[in-house]
Amino acid sequence: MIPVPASLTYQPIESRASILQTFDLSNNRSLRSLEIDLASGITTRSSYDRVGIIRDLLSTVTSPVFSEVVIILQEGIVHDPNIRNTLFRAVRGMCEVKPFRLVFWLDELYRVGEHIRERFEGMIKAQAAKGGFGPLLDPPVIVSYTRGKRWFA
Amino acid sequence: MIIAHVEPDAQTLKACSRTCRSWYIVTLPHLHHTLALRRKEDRAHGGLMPLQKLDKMRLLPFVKRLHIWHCNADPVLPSEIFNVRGLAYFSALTNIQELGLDGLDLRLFAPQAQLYLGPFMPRLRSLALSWPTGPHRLLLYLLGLFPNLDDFQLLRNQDWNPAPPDPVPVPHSAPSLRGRLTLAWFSGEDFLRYLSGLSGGLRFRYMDLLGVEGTRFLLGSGAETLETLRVHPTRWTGEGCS
Repeated sequence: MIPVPASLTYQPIESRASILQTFDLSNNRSLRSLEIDLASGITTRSSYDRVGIIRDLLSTVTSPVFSEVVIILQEGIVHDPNIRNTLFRAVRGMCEVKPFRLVFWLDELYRVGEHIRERFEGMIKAQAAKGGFGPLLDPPVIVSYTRGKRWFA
Repeated sequence: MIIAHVEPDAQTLKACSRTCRSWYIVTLPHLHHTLALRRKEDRAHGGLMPLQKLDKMRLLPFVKRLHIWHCNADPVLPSEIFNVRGLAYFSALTNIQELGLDGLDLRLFAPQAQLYLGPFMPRLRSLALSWPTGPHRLLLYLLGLFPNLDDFQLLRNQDWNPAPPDPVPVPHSAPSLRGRLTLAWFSGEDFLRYLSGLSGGLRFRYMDLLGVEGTRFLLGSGAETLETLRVHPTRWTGEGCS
């Protein structure tokens, strides 16, 4: 990789307040879908905690056509119950703000196998069955997709 | 139809193509949809071997996506790929719609960009630049070469010397830019404002924004058009984010 002097790279250190100000979606009238990428970078339980900000971000959405939240995940979500519970709690918080269709997208870049996908599907169905996501427009959908279509990860 | 769905899986596509002649014909456009040129890997041929192979079999018109990778710390040098032989192959790439260039040195590349990218100009819909170096005005000039450009991706822009060369070329035209915008670790809100002025507003339908200076401006520009926004909360590390 090409070495980049730190001074030439924009690496914002943003507070919660500045993120919400930056991503204020109250003026966007055509927004249909929000994609939350939790698959890029190193993810830990604390990074899943940050999904909590999305709840506040969602509350700024005023688009009349908004209907979908897509959560992009690594396969670690299947193996670690702590991470999973943190995520599910955050998703429930989001669902309380406004109803939407929930899509879980397992990222194939991380070699999500068929058995992983099936296990995750079971977990999501169980969570949905006990009302763990709160009010949703439709039952949660699980898709897996390769990043091959993207040029860089 | 089903074969189109297995497109990212090259092994399956190859197996399908060996089934019979009709399947071979159907799989050809999918098998050769993407071509990646990796320099340094093939020093003797300047990284042009894949082009040479496809040209021999007259398959170059099937390529719709071309990606030129850099494999080490050197930026892409025009002479290694964009030489007489390379340009001859490029002229046969008549259906390129997506172009990816890694480590592009705009100072070296931009003055000859029209010559190098001429065959791709009318049809190019998507341009992806990773780690480009050079002033933003040369980047604007490059974008101006593609009047039908809808999608733009830029990963980590960097400029070792902010002073632009003299004279700075003027963009030929305004790219349409109505599709997908992906920006990662990008600084230069002025660039976005200038590009917006050039294109009559940045009206992307999709935005994927990670560490972008000018996020508010972009969201404001797309207020009437933005349908999908991708955010990366795991990269938000500031106070109160957890």
